[in-house]
Amino acid sequence: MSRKPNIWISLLMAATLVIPLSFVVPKNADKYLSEHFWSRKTFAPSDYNVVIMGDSRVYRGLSPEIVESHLPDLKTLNFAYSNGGLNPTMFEAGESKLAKNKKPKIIILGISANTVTGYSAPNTQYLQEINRPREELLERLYFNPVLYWFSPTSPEQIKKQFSGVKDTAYYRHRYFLNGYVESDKFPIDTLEAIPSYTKDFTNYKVEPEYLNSLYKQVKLWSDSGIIVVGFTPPVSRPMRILEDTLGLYHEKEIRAGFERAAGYWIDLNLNEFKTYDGSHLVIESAQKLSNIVGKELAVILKKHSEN
Amino acid sequence: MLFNSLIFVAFALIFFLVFRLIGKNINGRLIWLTVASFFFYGWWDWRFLSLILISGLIDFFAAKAIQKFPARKKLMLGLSILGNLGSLSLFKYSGFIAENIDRILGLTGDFALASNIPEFFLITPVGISFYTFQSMSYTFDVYRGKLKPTNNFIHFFAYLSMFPQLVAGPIVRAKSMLPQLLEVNSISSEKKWNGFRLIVRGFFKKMVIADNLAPVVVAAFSAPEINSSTLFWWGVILAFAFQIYCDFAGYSDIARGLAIWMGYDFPDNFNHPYISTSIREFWERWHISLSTWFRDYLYIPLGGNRLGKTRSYINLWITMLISGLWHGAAWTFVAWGAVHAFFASFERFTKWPQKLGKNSVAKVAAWILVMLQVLVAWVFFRAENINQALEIVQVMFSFQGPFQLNWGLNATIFILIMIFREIIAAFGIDKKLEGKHPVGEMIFYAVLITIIIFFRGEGSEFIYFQF
Repeated sequence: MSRKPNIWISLLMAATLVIPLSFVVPKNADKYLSEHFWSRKTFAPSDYNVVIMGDSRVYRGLSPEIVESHLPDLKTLNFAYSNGGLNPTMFEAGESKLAKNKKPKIIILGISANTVTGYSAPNTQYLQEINRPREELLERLYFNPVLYWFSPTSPEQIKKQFSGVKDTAYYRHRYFLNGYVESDKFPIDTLEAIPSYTKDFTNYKVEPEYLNSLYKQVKLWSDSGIIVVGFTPPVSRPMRILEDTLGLYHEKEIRAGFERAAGYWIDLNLNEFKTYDGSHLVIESAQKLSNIVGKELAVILKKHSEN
Repeated sequence: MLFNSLIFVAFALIFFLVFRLIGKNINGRLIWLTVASFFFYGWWDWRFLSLILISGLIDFFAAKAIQKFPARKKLMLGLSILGNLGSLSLFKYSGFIAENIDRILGLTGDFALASNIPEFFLITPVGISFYTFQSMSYTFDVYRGKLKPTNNFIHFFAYLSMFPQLVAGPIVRAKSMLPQLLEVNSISSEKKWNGFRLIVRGFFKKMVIADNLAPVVVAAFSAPEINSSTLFWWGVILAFAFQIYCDFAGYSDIARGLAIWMGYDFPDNFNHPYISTSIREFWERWHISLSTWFRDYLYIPLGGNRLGKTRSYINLWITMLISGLWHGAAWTFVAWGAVHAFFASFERFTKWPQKLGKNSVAKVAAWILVMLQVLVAWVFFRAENINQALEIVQVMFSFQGPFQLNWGLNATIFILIMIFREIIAAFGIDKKLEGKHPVGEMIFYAVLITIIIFFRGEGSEFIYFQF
């Protein structure tokens, strides 16, 4: 070996340390994969037959993969965001993801009370993602999947790992590039989300302004040949009561308005679904919802083509 | 573009590949360096490239005019200073000046000057203080006859916009850099290794130490109420002292390492400031390129020590207050400068470091005293406002419990690493070991890279970018 230090040898030594350690050190999916996921979703190409929109109940509740299994050859994107409002900003963004030269074109709207109030109107998460600085965006899109393997740790984390104390509580996410997040939480507390929604619906109600804008858009889409399908994402019964009473969400009226605008509505039975916090579905229920929506969509498509 | 980003790694790879392909063609190297540097800066906000261009053009032509019309050289220098400080005032200080005028005149609402400043002027361009000072030093040196102006536009802009030090220094003097740019020095394997060492050490300081200490400091200063524990605040300020040192010295190390790989030599910007045994020594070790800039272009032209004792103190205060203001448009920075000016004046007046003697006990006592002063001054530098700074200083000297540092394991380990590092420097152990154990060194830097990868903190901008 040379008597002078050599950069390449030192880098090689570093690689022999880093690569094995990358298999041992815990990964931080909630940073690297989540960031990658949101950037990929926001900058997804205009290449889809089916675009699903709504809030976190929708991106945690509807798996495009399962929906597609009922609709062969139709590419599906879950384009829902946290506090995603159903208003012109999202209508335009969602429509832009539909492939120009593919048919049929379908838009699925998960209409929860939150999506038609002033609270979700700013579409904060979506705008934050779309306006992210170029440098950050490039890192998230292209480097994060690699960086994930080299997630940083800390002395604190290592101490915890070696102490043998394991957290029994967890909140796990699996990020799918079709826009779906499979979520799993323990312990389950179906009343957990109630206080924060009570606060939200004390200040914000379902407003006719947002509903009328929604109906108008459904009509415009329907007239231009896009099939529009709506549903209310299932939640726990106390949550539904809260949304109906405090949030002034009336599914029957919304459904009527939606169908008047030539949209299709999927009816769901709350008793068939389970949530982990009162607001978001457990994995099995999310899969069930995806299956129901896929099947119903197949029926709607058939009906639509017969007409 | 941040050094601690993968985009920069990609940029640097392309830069060095092309730089190597260009070989010994001086003009080709200068053009590529300028184009790459403009791209590097424009990546952040291309609109502000015009500022570097304007600042550079002012000094390029001012220097030529000084040479051509010696009888009017004062006027030319004045115009250059006006142009540079004008753009600095407009983009860095307009909000601060307007807010203070509003406060004095009681202007509010639509009548307030601050609310009438166009938004564009409220964005402080990254590194404006650095490249403005660098550009001005060129004209000053030409004015003093210490440097011949260059006639090559690209040569000048390659110097001014060199990307390694463009946004956060070191402030490289034209006198040392312009000749270097016209040479093609072969880079020995030893030099390449030195560049590599600096870059790895720089990333370690920034990404491991500074970024891991940042949460402790941010949490303490952004808490709605001031923590009432004396020990807590001494701990937080010590964490901040290492955070800002590693953040800034880390950037300088990376810049110097990159320069070495290009075949150039940048001056050392930090030399273990926290082992100083006097305030004067601290300033000889901290942000050396800025301290010497102020010494050569402000303190000495004001008269330095030549015009009597009283005048030397006045000059010291002016220099320190302006140096404080250079760091940021806020009274906290001015106060930081004032605190340092006070401690430096006291030291000059009493000569206490010399009086303490030279034995090791005296040295340790001097070191403790200097650290106490430096830490108290950092409170003003970091505080959100003067009131917060005063409250914190009050708590620091109130000897109140609870006597807990609240650093957490992460910060404790990283602070201990830095203390250990400074002790090694204080005893010159690192210098003794340098170059003696090549294998050991290679292993050491491999381990350092591994630590950077797995113990990097939450990435953030370099603190000095805002200056």
